[in-house]
Amino acid sequence: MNYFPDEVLEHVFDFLTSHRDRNAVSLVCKSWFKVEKWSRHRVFVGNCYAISPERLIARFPRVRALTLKGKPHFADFNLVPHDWGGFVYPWIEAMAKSNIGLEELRLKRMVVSNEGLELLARSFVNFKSLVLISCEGFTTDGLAAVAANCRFLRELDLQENEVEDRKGQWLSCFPDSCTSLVSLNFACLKGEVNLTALERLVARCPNLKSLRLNRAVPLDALQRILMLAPQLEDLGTGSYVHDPDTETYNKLISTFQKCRSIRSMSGFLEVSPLCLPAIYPICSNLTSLNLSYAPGIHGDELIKLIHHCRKLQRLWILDCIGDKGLGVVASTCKELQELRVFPSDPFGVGNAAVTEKGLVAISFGCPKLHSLLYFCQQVTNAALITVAKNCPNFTRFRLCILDATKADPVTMQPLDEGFGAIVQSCKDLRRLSLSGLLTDRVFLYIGMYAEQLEMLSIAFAGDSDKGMLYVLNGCKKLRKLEIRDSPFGNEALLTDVGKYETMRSLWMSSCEVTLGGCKVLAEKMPRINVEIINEYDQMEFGFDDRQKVDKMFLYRTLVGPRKDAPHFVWTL
Amino acid sequence: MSPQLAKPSPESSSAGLHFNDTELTLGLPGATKSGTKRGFSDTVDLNLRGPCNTDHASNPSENDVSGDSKPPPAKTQIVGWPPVKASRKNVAKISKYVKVAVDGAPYLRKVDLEMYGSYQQLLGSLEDMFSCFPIRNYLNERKLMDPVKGSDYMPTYEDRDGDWMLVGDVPWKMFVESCKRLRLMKSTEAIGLGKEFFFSSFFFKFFCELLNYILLIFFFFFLFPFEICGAAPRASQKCTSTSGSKSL
Repeated sequence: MNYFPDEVLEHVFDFLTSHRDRNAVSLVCKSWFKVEKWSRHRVFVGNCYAISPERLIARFPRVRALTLKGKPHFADFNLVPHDWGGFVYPWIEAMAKSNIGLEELRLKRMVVSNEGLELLARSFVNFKSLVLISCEGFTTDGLAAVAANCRFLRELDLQENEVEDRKGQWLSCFPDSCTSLVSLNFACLKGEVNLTALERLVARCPNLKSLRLNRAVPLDALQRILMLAPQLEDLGTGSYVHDPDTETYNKLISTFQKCRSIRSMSGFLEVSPLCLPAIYPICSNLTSLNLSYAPGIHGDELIKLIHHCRKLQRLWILDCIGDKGLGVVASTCKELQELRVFPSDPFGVGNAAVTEKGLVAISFGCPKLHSLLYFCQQVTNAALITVAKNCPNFTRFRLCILDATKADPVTMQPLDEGFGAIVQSCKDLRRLSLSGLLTDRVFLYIGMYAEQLEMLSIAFAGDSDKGMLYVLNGCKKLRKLEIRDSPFGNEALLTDVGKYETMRSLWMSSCEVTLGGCKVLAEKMPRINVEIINEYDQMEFGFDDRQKVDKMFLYRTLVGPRKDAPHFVWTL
Repeated sequence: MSPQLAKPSPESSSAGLHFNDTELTLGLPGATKSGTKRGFSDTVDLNLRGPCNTDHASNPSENDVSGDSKPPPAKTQIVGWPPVKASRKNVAKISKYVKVAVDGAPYLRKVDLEMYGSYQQLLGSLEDMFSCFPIRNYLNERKLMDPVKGSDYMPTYEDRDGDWMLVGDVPWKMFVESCKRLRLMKSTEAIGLGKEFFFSSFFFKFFCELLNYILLIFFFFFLFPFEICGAAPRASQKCTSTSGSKSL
């Protein structure tokens, strides 16, 4: 292969889009390593503390698109203290210093400061795309800096961030010369919006394909925006509230009829169900529908709407749709690939929730389904076995029973056999979340059958160390394991410490692991950071190694203990 | 998603027991089917005030019923379970606060319309809020009355178009959507607000029928508690004839 000149090799490598393939290529020989190094433009870093920015830049000097992830996944559910870390500033600073021509930055669960956004806006002339998912620490002032200075900005996508809204006129900071926007999503912002600026911006961006508005954008503004941008493919409505007996609503109906390219809809943060018929005409084109933030649409209205959506591939919805509604989904949406059913009342006593009946109906009606997130009241082993038989293509299967340790309501047995059937029949399963009453047996099945499993979430499950050991020994491709409130202790943790070098991270909270156990692990594995989160000062360091560790997070790293850890995070 | 009444009153429990059978069949348009005793008991709530209630409340068997109408005790909340993002937790809890003004009252209040499932619940709560005005609530006329001054109040609201409307014309859900603020207007001022239309509306008529029916049953039961079985046919007969004449 060394007969090819580097340019040819580089051209060939360009066809490799997956990070894994490129990683493999770079290991073939020195010359391939070199070529790959200079031609890699997109880099994914799954843990911002696994490597330093400087090292990344040295390794891939021509990086143009960077994806970074910060806090552990359980941070989404308030299990990680607020100021744990995950700062993006050092990364932006390092890249600015090294004159990296950064064009795209995608961050998940990171702390983003206004200074960081300002530095980014000033340093990278060709910056095009900023995607922030579940990030925090910035305000609309930072967004204003990006809007004002990134002249070629194509994408500004803010998903589920905690943003302090200074009621600033950040939307009016886009200069008149900004005509390049393709995607704009500010649905998570809470504050007021300068509607005139928004309409002008939409009007001058002919390539705008995706637009997701926030609650402050009323229905009449939506109608005007749609008039200006009939080319939209992805629309997130803000407030969808209006009196259906008005001129505005009639205008909206005729406007929607012209929006023939809309394929994806979301939003409806507030909604008048009586206005929903306006979107019926475009429903037949929709491939993606997200109503998981629309508690105002009740069961019957949802069902009416779903009847029009025959091409849906992705559906996110609240459980007020009910088992009956899921039956309608099953008989209507034959192309469905991804389904998420969220709880409309996560802490209530559950009067609206769905059960295994809806899930079974879906599994019969939607054979293409491969990704599921399902919050439900109860589930039976028989139902899970049926689902496993009907949908063997699952790659992501996340089932959350609201009552975390509920057994099969019919047989009162644990759900081991049901989840066992899932891992046995879904050969490509990569992500799995368990819930309900579970014993070590389910982990035996997982270790035995889930060969492709990459991420596993465990809560309130298992009986002994054996359970965790089955998983660690069995799942060869496991990268992320997160466990909470399960009886796994030092033996499980320390039996195969080498395993953690093959994984990205392990989270254990409220388990049986002790401080001493964690110390042993840290000593044995210098390239693993073992962090203990001692949030409420329950522990005294060095006092007693037998005390249980409330929260432990360990990850492999090339840089050693992090320098920015807050006082309550101990790196052993 | 079913609206919860803030405080189950003793009246509701006592009424609920006696009208177990009738309760299920009665529902107002726009009122949610909560499946509890609440919807019914509230309709008679305000008319039951008086010494007679204590007799019923002392009956030990009624504890069961009142237990039913209370929301079951909340489960102890586990941090991070169910695994729902913080941004989603707020989604489920929708609230719609509107201002309430009473003509002549020195202050305004705010109510969350999403907390109520029907006009009855809302009006009952308004009555409590402005208790400094000794208001009596004649629900079948849908106005609040101040017996001291002799002036009564019509609940009115400003809709999305900025028009002032009488409360009760449209189904409850539609009302919640369109109501911008509430005002308890002196009846003398509210005359211009399309009273004719209001009293002729289907909803109102239905409501009158319903309330009369309930009232009569209640009074009958109360007066002749020992004759329940034998009196039933007569009660219904009387009821239909009387309610028919009243609604005219």
